Amino acid sequence: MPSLTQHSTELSKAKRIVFGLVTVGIVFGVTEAFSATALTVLRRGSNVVVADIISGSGSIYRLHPLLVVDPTQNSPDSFNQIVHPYLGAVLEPIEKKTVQFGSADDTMENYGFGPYSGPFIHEYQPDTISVAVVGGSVAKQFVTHGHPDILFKKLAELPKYQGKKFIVSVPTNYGYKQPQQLLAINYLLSIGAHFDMIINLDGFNEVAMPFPENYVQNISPYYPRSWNLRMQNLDLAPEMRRIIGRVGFYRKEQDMLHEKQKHSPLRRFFTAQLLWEMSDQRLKKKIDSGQQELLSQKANERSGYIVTGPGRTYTGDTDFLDDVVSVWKQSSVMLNQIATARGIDYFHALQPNQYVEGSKPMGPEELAATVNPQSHFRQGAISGYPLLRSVGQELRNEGVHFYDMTMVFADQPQRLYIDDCCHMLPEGSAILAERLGEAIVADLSQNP
Amino acid sequence: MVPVLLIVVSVEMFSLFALQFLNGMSPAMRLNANVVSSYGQAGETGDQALASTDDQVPHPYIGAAHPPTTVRKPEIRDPDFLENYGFGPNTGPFPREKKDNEAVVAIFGGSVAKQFALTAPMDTLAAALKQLPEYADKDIVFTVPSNYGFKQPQQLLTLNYLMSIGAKFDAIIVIDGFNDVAMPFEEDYTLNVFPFYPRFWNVRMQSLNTAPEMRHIIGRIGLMQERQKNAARIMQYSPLRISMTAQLVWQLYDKDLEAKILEDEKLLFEQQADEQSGYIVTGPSRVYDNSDQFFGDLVSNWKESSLLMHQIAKANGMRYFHILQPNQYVPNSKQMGPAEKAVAFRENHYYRDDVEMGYPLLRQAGKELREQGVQFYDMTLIFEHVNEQTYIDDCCHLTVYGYNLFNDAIAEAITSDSNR
Repeated sequence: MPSLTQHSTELSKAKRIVFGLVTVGIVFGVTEAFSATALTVLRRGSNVVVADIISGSGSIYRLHPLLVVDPTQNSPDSFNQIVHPYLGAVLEPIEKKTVQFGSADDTMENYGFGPYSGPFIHEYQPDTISVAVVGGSVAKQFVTHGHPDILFKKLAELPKYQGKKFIVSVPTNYGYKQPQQLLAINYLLSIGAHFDMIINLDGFNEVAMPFPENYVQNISPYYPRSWNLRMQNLDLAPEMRRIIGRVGFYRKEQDMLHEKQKHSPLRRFFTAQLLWEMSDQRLKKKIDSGQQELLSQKANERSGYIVTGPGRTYTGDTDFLDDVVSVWKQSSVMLNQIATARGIDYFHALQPNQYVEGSKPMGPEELAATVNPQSHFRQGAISGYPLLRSVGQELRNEGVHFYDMTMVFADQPQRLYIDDCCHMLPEGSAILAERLGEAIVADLSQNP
Repeated sequence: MVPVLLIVVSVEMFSLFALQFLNGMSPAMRLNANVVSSYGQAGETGDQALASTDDQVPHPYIGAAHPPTTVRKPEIRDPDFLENYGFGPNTGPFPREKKDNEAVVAIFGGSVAKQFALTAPMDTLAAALKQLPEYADKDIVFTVPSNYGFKQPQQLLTLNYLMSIGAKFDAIIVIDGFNDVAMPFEEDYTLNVFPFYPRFWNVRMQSLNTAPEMRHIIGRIGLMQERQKNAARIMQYSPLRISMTAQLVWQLYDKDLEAKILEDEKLLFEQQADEQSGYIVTGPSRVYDNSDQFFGDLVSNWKESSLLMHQIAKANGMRYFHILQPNQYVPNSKQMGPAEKAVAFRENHYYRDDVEMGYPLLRQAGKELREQGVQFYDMTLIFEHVNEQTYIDDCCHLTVYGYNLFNDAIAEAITSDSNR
């Protein structure tokens, strides 16, 4: 029989174990709670948005039931697109398929415009309207992540479109700027595409990108985005090679981290998630800063013309802006000319942007997430938009169905922008679709 | 103090053994070992490798262009030249403004168009153009935005590109047809390349430097080699080099980097196979049941491109003339003596079959273009009754005499068409 002293010692040992377990439990609980809170804070303002684009109308070619905006796509990314002989750069199709000539299965993805970019229509069909939406990433997301059905429902009110089915394609890629839209349409028409309507939603890339991303690096302002990175001779540009390598290295680490995250048994714990999230954000920061560094790499003189393109210099900012806006205007005029000659309806909309003064009331959260005083796009947008708007008026006077959507969010205080570039939440896209639809219907009712 | 020393000595001893185990040689020898670079083998390409035999380099909008012989950076208001835009020397001005006393005529097409404009005296054609009321009191200035090997849609896209960045032409002459039907089958389609991609696109893209994933890997290898070199440099000059532990740490780091480099190099060679036959080279997939379908599509692209150029010209108040060039492989299009036949006609040339297949379709499509309002001129048979040598090689190019006759024929066609 154990003595009283022994019993009390055993009791206190048991107590100690219980106490220890409780303490560990409390520490674990507190840590998990802290991690959960920290995770919420860390993840707030993230650019990842699940966009619901389930169509209500059923009359529109649906692109995909659910898409996720990839925030890396918004960055000056030279990694995803590949060189194309006529459009600067395109996306390699995910699934390589053999397409029979004239086949109804042909898609825009086959021609380099990425998944969900719609069908390649070869022939006129009396009961359908083949629509091409062109522009840059905002135009693309307007269709793939927004509510284009709202626009087409509105357009269906016009007698000429009544009872017709809209088949939408998006022959455009992230970062496109004129003359890329013009060349894409000409190229596709030449190889047999049929369009009944072209909607061009652009303006921002044309004024925000050419100066910081091309001209200051000695690249022709009209060359495609990241052309210098695609064509730079790595042998002759050791610094660029190092940066590309660094970005690639961190991307690989990020991929490995994501793999670990997916398969680790620890994935249910907030603390593990927090640690991963912190590592992920650290890597993302390094990748972003590498990409910024890449952009600031001047075209290597020894790499020459293949990288820089034609030389054209300007005496000042005004000259430069006048020229980039004149390319935007001339490209639109030419799209309109081609469209008119072929009986295609052409609608040109100037996209809204948050850097335009007075264009959107913003709460602190949206302001913090979407207006970046250091953004290299900011100055181009601020200086360029007044000119785009005034030249847009000239386009209208010259017979182009042009619509200035700059102020479309001027009375919308809720959050509508997604990042500090130009992209919108689906709610913003819906408002833009509604207003653009109204503008076109009103215009065509007066000037058919 | 003594325990600390004991720990240091023990760690150093352990490191010494570990180093010997790792290297099978003395640490001092390893320190002097050279870090072998493999980057030079992987990335020895560049402008020169990208330039194919025709000295053109990739261009983002027109497929390929000539780097200018002299790099100029004209001010936006200074005179500018087409050479600056990738069309080689002597190709004329880049016309920014229309002038009252001048009509700028742009000649588009491939090598025959270019040689036509740069070889033949253009007086006859200029005189014919001056008979048109809109050019009557103007000096005719020819400008040649064409490059060797160009085929549609390159002429169309060149026009769009140049006009979008401010070029203002008064008239357009397109001289083409041969490249459009003779090149796509053998030079593209049989190699699995989209027939409407530019000539030699596959050759230009066979470069490690332009393939994105390869660039990625090459860059990563370069970065790791850089780190290897830096670590070796630090070890060479640092006082820590006498420490066995420091050497052990450095060697473990070095070996880790080396393993990663090897892994990436392996990946690079696997990638090479993938990307060289990948989308960057081949472009879109479009397969045909038979040669009728194939040549039908080629000619439809040629016709559609011409129609688009005509529509742009019309909308901008420019005259548009489209000429189907002659070619020796068109049956009965040229009486050839033995000397000409020896240099200009190769029985088994792959161009021959394609011309025989394509030209009848081009000629028919040309008639349709005329019906659609295009000033189209079929020059296929202009040498039918000419006995003198007009062809200079077994492709398509003409002698100076041939170009002169061609010039006269175009001038006459434009004049008689206008009078009608």
